[in-house]
Amino acid sequence: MSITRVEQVKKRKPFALWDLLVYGVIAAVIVILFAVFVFAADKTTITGVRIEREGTLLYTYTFGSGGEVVPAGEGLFEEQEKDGVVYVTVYQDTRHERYNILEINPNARTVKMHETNCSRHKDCMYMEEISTVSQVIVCVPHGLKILALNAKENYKPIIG
Amino acid sequence: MQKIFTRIVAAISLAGIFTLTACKDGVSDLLAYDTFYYFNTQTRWAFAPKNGQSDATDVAIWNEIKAGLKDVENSVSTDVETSSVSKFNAAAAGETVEIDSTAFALLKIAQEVFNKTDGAYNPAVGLLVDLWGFSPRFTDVEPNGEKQPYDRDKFMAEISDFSRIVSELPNAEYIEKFKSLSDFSEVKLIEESGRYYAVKPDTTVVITDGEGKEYTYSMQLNLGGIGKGYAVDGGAETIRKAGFDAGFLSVGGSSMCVFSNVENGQLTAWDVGVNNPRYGLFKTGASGEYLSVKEQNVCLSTSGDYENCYYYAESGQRYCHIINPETGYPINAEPENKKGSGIICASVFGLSAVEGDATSTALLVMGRDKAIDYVQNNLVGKDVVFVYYDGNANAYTMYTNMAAENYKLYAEIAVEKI
Repeated sequence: MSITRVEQVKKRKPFALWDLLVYGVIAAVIVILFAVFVFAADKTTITGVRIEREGTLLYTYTFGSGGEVVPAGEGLFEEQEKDGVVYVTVYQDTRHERYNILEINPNARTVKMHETNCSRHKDCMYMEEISTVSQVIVCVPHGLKILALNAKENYKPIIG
Repeated sequence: MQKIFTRIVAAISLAGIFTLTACKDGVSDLLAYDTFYYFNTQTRWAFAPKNGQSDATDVAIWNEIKAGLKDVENSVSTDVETSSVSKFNAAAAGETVEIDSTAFALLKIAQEVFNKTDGAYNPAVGLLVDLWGFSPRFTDVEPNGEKQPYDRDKFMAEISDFSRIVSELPNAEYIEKFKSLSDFSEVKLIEESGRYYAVKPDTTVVITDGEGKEYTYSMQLNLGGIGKGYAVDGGAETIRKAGFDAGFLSVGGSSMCVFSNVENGQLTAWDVGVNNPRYGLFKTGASGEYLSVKEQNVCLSTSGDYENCYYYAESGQRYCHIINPETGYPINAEPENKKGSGIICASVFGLSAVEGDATSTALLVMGRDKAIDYVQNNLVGKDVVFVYYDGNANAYTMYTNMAAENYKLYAEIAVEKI
């Protein structure tokens, strides 16, 4: 870069007016998006949870009604109740070596990952507990997704 | 410049505030319960919770709906060994079998529709359904059940590999034999001192296997098709009594009762989507429907040749699970119907779900001309729609008695008014 060019750059103000305008718009968009995702998230409480593996439903738990293993999940689930809390063990396969244990609290209407041997980091155990319909727990190594039974969908009657 | 900047930021902020505070008054949005346990399919109850949030009331209703499903499944499923229908099927020809009240009620309805449709709806084709490979022992995840002398070896191997292309069709001799066991009018129903009985016809046929061993067969019933509709009717009654007037209840996607939709807090009619019977061929709406119909507070049923079917490798002909009791062949696949002409899907709105299940199946069996007559004479005031395929012209036509303003057709096919 020539000395003249360096001097020209040095003489300029740090931010031209149009630069500020663009930065301002970007900042506003970021703030709005943040607000939409944080404050506008659906706070509807969950009616229960569903457990899916790679898109296939395996199990549902409805508060007030209990757990239900669907045919695709037969032989992969164990339920235990202790002090009003239900612990649901989800096995990766019928060898029962790899597992996740969900902690379902029917009184508090919350669901969280209690224990797993999916990986050394056990990331799914540190995900926020599910209490509203917009929350989800994912265990990537085991391909599990736990989401609200009443997670919002576009409910439309389709027949056939 | 500062003013412009301020206005831009204000506009964006206002848009955000509107997004955040958008709300509806009146009826709340829909929630849904799903179960996949009964009839090996999905049951969904979508509803507007009474106080905007799910509570013990809707849990109790949902439990009652599931109990009703279980009752019907335990009564009529051929997958359940102790069901009334399994007991009837296992009984010897001519035997009187005690059945439960649910099976009795369903058989009564089946008899009514059988008579009304001149036998086009016929639940006594159980053996033909098995012969063609559509009974539960074939449609479960892996073929199971006792091997039969009429089983096709190549077919069994092909469907075990989840192939939908098969290279072996049933022997014509077995089709004729099993046709003779499908006269549903011969089944007698008896109600006596609060107990219920079904008398099995005494007709039998004998089939000999390759080693000379003889197997005797008698009538087999299959009420699976209308059992779902019966469960929907029961569930819908429970929902109505509990005062839930928005949402819908569906079992397996083919039987459904719709109540009202919720739009901006108001109860309105639903745009009910009817699934595309020819994937990739018809244009569809956003949810894959070829047709959308405005309906509110009705039950509806649909039948078609597009699910649970396979193709014969030699001719490419489609063989589906709906059997024509008159010919013993799957609909639109009779030997003289090489181009597969016939009704490919039919939907009935406004009957009970159980009657709708039986009637929509019967319309497919009847064929175009008889179906038009039946709609004109027996389904006045009910909305009916079916799609006919003309194999010679390779053209599809939708026939309906609905006014054009009541539906939106996405598929680019001809329309004929009934």
